[in-house]
Amino acid sequence: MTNAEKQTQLAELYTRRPMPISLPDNPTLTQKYADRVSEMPEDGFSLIPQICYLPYIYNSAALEASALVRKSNLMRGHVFVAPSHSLYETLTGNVIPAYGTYNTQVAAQPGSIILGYRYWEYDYPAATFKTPSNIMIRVSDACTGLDIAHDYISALTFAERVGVGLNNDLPMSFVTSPRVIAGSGQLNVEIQNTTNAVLACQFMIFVAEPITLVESTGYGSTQGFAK
Amino acid sequence: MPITPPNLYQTAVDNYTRRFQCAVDSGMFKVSGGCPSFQSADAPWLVKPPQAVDFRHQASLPVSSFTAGVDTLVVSFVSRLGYDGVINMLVNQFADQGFIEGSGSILWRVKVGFRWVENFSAIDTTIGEPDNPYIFGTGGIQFRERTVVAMYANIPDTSLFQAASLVTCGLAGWQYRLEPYSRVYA
Repeated sequence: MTNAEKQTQLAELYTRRPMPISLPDNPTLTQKYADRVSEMPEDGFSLIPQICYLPYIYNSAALEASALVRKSNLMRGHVFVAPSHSLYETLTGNVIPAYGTYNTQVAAQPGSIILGYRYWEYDYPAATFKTPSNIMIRVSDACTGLDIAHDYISALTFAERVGVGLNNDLPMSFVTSPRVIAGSGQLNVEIQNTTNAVLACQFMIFVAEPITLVESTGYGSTQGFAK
Repeated sequence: MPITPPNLYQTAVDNYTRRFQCAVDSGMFKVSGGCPSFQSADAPWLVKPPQAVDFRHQASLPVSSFTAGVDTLVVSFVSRLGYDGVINMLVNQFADQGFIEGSGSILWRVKVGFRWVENFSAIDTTIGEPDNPYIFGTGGIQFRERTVVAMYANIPDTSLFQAASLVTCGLAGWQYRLEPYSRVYA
């Protein structure tokens, strides 16, 4: 297949893509906001040929599922990390001791939505990144106790996979569909070291948070937000 | 400057979030634990349900079976298919003289699946008796169906003890049948 043919096929694939949204349940609201479709922001992910080229693989599908959140105008991206800084989290610098567990809780805005994860592991103190080994992670909703996965899962699931198709160069492992954090927006994170050696790591949770709008309270100031 | 109105996508996200929150508020996930308002006092890992099945596994190994500094399996079992479980009784003993509590000359470890259980990954004292195991006050160590639950021991220096001395490990508790919504999958 020549490059021109590839480009033609690519263009066809792109133009055939369905509208990546599900319409709201409320028909009144649908009607009310239908005229704002032209104001929708461009979604940069949809423009990447690497992704458009194979629209039916997992990452493309997952990106499509989260397009709804990315294009919503009152959500913003936020990355939570656990531990906050691996090298200084403890006095000794050894984040998770042998056979040990690291526990933490991240607090997002209520109504936040999880989009994906990424796990990094490296040697301490050289900070040389390496392939995750024998690490189990559990993320659960602090309010309801719902697990994100069935049980503890291997950190390899969230690790970067260099050179394996579209996993390469992507910043995170996507969830199958955007997942709402219930209640107070807190997540329990447990990282378990199953080896007999210390471990330095960082686990990232990619979240979309609702933006809290600030209204003017009528103090006469012209600064900040006004009604 | 007017407040930015929600666009079409934001409206859909709001509906999506609202639907999920409605399911949470309805008490659908109430058995799952979590914050106090969602905790259930009769969760199956706290109170033994009528259909639960007891288990009690105990075994001993002589010191001669240990290699110095190597985690050695003493007792293990596989949980039933369709049953989650909880360990709420524990025994680890050394049936001879020479062991000093807390010295680290013997370490006991509880393992569930691939992971070492938090707070039970390096026990350096004896706990409970074979005929009178230590009972957890509340909760316990939960595990899923079809999971290998095991207890290991590690003797950094085997020459400290007589070869025939026995290291004992025991796990007991119950397994409960999965009920609708008792555990919700991602």
